[in-house]
Amino acid sequence: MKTAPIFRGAAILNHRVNAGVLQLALGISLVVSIICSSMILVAYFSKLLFLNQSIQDRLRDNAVSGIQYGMAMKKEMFFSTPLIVDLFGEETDSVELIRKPWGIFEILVSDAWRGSHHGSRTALLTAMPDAIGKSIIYSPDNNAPLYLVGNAKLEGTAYVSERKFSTGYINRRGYEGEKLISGEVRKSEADIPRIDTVLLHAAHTLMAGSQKSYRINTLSQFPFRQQFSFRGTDTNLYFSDQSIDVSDSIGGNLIVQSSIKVRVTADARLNDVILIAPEIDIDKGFEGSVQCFATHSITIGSDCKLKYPSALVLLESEKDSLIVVGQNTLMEGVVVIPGKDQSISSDAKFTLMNRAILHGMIYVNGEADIRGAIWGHITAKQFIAMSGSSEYRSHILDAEITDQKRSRSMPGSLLWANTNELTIAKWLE
Amino acid sequence: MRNFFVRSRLRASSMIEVTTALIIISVIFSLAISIYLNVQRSGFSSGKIMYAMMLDEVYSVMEETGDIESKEFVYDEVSIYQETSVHPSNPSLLIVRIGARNAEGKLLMEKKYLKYVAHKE
Repeated sequence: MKTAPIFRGAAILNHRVNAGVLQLALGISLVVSIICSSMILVAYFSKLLFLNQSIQDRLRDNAVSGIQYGMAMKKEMFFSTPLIVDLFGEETDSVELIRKPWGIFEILVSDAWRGSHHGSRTALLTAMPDAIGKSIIYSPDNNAPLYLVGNAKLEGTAYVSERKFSTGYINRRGYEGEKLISGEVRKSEADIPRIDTVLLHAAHTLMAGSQKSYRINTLSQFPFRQQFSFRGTDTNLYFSDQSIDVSDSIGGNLIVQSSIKVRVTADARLNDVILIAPEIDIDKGFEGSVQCFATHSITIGSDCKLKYPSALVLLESEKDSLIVVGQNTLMEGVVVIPGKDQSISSDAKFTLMNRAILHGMIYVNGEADIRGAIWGHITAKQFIAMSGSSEYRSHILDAEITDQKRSRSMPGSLLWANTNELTIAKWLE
Repeated sequence: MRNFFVRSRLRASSMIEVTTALIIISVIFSLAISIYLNVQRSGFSSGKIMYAMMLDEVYSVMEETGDIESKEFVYDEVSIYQETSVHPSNPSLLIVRIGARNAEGKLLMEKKYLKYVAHKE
């Protein structure tokens, strides 16, 4: 209390308090300032996080809107050529769109950006089915009925020749059902429906070593355990002059091509990749989604599960070329044997083995031997049934072809029996 | 004041010193509170998240049902509007605006989307 007063005039200011009070006040202020600064920091970072999230949400919405834009403007977009679009005409929401072929599907990549932020979506496109695509059978009019034998079961609309259906007799077995077809029967044309060759031609040129529609980035080594992004214009290709055995996990933007054969083991995990070779074998028990393009044969073993969107395509089919889907295999997707054109059929044959299920659509400009179940549609130039070494033309033996078990979300194909309405088959990224 | 720093022990402080310290503390505290409230108001809020989720849900319903008609309805005491107009570049493309307004008509949030609608054959 002996220290000199700063202001002598005011008595109240002369009053001295214990030094501990100021220390206490300073201590409290320190605590308060720490609390305040932490609150401000928390609020600041939460705001930052929220703003980042808001920008990401908006970019995600813009990327999805970009996909919608690409679907509407598909005809004006060229393959593998980026297009920058101002979505709403307000110069604030821009996206870069890339349209690419991907087997029998098309890919749209939409990349939205704002400053350093990016939002990207990739969609696999296909088309909605038309009346033929929604039916169960399209068999061109050849002035002969389709003969049903054994436990053959047809449910849905069928396009067949004027003589419709009849009961057949194979190996001492007649028709064992009560009703030949549960559904409407319509008359088909003499020719098999025309198939759109743009995507098939793109795959065919790739097979022949030309790269017109695909912009190829060649990989020097076979990739192991890699998932390739579909962003950008390039398509990754691994090519070998030797046979290729695939037994690893690979997925995404990758084409595996061999000039001899590709074999996929049961251990392999393939997602959305494309395989190209004269011969493609998939071992028993395989699971994954894969598109196979072959010139001679595609053999799917038994107990496999080929998830949507899978595809089996036989190009340049020669005599004895075939696609076989093994017993107890479930395949979701599309099978195509295009043949030469509408009037000249292929020598190739498609066989769906007993207890195998094909959920999707089939186009066979050749012979179709259906012993399992089709949950969807089949267009076939010629149905055949095999018994021993005998072949019965225009016969369906023990097959189930139905639209009752076809998923409502199962779309059609871009190749045939479709409307002009596009749909997203799968979000790839 | 020089003695204040020189002496190792303080025995007492004047009232003016204490008052000054308290005034400075309270000014800093009030500034901090105002900054905090400002940050809170302009940034993260449960309301904004709720409105964003609400608009996303309305968009999802529109996607599922295909109901692209312009309309307005009340949802959880918030007025939601959905406006569709044809995109100038393509009649198959619609601009969909989905927004939320409060009871006073103040715009709380708006989102814009493009929607592809194929013309049936």
